[in-house]
Amino acid sequence: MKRLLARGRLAALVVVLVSSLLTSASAGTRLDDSTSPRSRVEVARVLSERGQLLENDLYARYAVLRVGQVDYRLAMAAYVGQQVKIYYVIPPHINGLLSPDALKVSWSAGNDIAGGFAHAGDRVLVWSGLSDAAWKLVTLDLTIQVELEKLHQDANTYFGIEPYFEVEIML
Amino acid sequence: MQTYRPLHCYSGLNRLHRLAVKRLYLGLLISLLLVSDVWAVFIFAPLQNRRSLALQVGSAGNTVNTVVFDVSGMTLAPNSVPVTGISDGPNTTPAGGVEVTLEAGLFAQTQVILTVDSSAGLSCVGGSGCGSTIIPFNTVSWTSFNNDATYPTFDIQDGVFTGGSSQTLTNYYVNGGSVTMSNVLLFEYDNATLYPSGQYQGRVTFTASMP
Repeated sequence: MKRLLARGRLAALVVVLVSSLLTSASAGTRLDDSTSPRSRVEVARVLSERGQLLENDLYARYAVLRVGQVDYRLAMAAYVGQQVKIYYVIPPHINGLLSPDALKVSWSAGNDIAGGFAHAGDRVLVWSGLSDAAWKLVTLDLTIQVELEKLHQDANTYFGIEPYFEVEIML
Repeated sequence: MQTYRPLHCYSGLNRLHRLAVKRLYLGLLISLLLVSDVWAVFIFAPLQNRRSLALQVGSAGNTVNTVVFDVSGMTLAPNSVPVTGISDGPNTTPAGGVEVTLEAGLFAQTQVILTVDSSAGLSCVGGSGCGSTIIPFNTVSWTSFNNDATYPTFDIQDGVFTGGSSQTLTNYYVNGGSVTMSNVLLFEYDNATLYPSGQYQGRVTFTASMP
């Protein structure tokens, strides 16, 4: 009887895990971008909305981070041969940010990736189609704008975000 | 009495099958754990708090202005009445006052505090005839002008020196950006106590800080 119960529990666990996997897939599965050329991108010069160096602009309301080109190498092997949608996701919780609207990430992109913008917590469709390769290289030209009034940043700390991509299989 | 209990018979093939299924479950679990282990591209910038603070009391630069209270003639006891001080600093409205300007620039929510030290008091100037008498600064008050009724906490309010070393004049929080506070203070000596005649001189020091 014990063996039966144990077997039942294991089966139930797997069913739960598989169903949660299916649920997350329908809501978007995070893509592995660990083989991207740069895992850490530092923005050395921070400007104000008037294009001045931020530390020189006493009346700045926004910090503008011109990140430039960021390359993402997305692991797509699991989706080869399938129609998929790829989303660019800005995490909802960013250290020091008091309001999601205080952060705006804008990007332009070459080839077939759509440009756009997003606030913290947004998920924006950037590509859809037939996945035909194990890897997909996405290059974004990024600019990040932060409303200083809504940033509570401790002294001598860095401001950072980790945008990522999610994939959805089109049924 | 014969009892019956459920009987499960497992053939060798069934056992192997169940073992394989368990291994499959285990492999699936491990692969699920591995799938969630992904890395992200981290973008960061040295967006530290920018903190700048500029305080000007009267004249610009290192000039120390003097406010003179002339207690003579009709203001002398027993007709003693308060005496308004006249500053030698830049012109103000109303005339004779001292303009205190505090400009704070910051990225994020920060506390800005303005204090004044009046602990030394007004000491008798040597040879002027008042000996070692010290008039405490709590005899001097001020009226503040250019106040903004909408944001009273961002202004110096009317007050009197306490004679303390760290009397708070303003204490407010700013949610980033830049804030300028500017008030003209018109000082008054209360002339309520009879002190030996002579010339008295003292200094108050204003200090602005972002803790």
